[in-house]
Amino acid sequence: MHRDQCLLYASGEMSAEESGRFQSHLGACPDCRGWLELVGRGAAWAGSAAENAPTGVLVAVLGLTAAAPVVAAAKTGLWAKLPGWLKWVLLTAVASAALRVAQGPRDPVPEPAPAFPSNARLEIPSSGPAPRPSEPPRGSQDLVAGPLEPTLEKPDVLECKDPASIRAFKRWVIYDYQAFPEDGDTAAEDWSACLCGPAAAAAGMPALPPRTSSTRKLPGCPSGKESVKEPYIAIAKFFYEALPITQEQAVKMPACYCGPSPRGR
Amino acid sequence: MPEADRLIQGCRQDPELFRELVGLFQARLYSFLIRLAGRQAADDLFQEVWLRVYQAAPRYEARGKAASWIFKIAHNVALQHHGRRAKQPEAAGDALDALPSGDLDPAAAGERAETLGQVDAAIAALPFEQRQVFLLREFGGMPFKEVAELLEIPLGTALSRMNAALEKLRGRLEDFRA
Repeated sequence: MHRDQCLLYASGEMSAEESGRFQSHLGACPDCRGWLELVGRGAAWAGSAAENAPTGVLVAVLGLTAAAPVVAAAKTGLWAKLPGWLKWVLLTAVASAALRVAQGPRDPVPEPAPAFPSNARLEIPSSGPAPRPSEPPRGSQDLVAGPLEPTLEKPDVLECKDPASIRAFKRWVIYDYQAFPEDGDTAAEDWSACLCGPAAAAAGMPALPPRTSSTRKLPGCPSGKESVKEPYIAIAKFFYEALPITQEQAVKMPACYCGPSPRGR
Repeated sequence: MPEADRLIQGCRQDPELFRELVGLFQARLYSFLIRLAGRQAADDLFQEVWLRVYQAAPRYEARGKAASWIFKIAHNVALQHHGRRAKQPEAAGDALDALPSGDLDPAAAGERAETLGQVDAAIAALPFEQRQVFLLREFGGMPFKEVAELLEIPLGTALSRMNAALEKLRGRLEDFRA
């Protein structure tokens, strides 16, 4: 088999004469044809695997053209010395300002969240379910309501790169789970850690939310004897509607909710 | 002049051309960086690559090799990161992390992520030198001759690394048809 020639043929790096000779060879060599097919599969995988950069990153990149001071810093070599987070802040700020000027105010009306499909595939924790409600209750003094407000507006979808977004997510969880005061702040810490990793702890805790008279009923976790699929779909649906999260984050919620605490408690 | 050449040459003067240039390459470039340097580093590296592209655009010689030029920059940026980290990039983790943020069908996306995740895991397990060649070829679309030049290795070595990578990925690529 001529594997090297297969690669060069597939990438168009043969001359017309070489290519013609190799085509003749291919007709008589099933091994080379098989290898050529494998080469094509690699290319097909790359086509399927290409994914867009996150919107925030793209906005930061596109802000380069409006970022004269930042680019000037780059030219002097200062840029290379800046930590990644500071580059992000600078670029994002410049880009945001540029986009605001260029595009005007954004539509303040958010699009409605799409319905959660019933056949969602779900992440299953490696260890057995450990339903949160069975944990020993914590003292209600752990959760103290803030000043009275009529309601708390549901925040934007959780963005793990943004500490303010993480804090807003935690605040919403605490607010939404005041009907379960033994669990609200634990849930806020656990779920944000589950969805965002170490960034959750680094974001700190939010200002206390207002009180609510919510009587939200939490879904149950599978007992271990039944199939986890249906309960997990129900849990994902529940949290997708209840929390400011994306569908991808909702898919992870059954593991966050029923699995062991990501913070090791 | 090829479209990408025109975009590179004009991107310093016209932000819209820079936007088009980013749009043209962003998915392949971001995917390349994820697989070569790891998902956690990809965002920062992606920005750094485009900053360098923007800086170097006036020196770009239009020869219809824009993709190779951009991916050479990306490779160098990733390699510097690799050197700084002084360790292999992390394996592609949870397949669900591979879901594109805009995907609105968790069922289809989950199946896709599962299959992609299996290939990703196999790619992450490749020796770094084989992974470099595989990714430069498949995401960068670079001819093997240019891959060999970039990596300063003989053409035969680049080809043998690609063949070795494909051999290791053979079982995982069954679901993908050209």
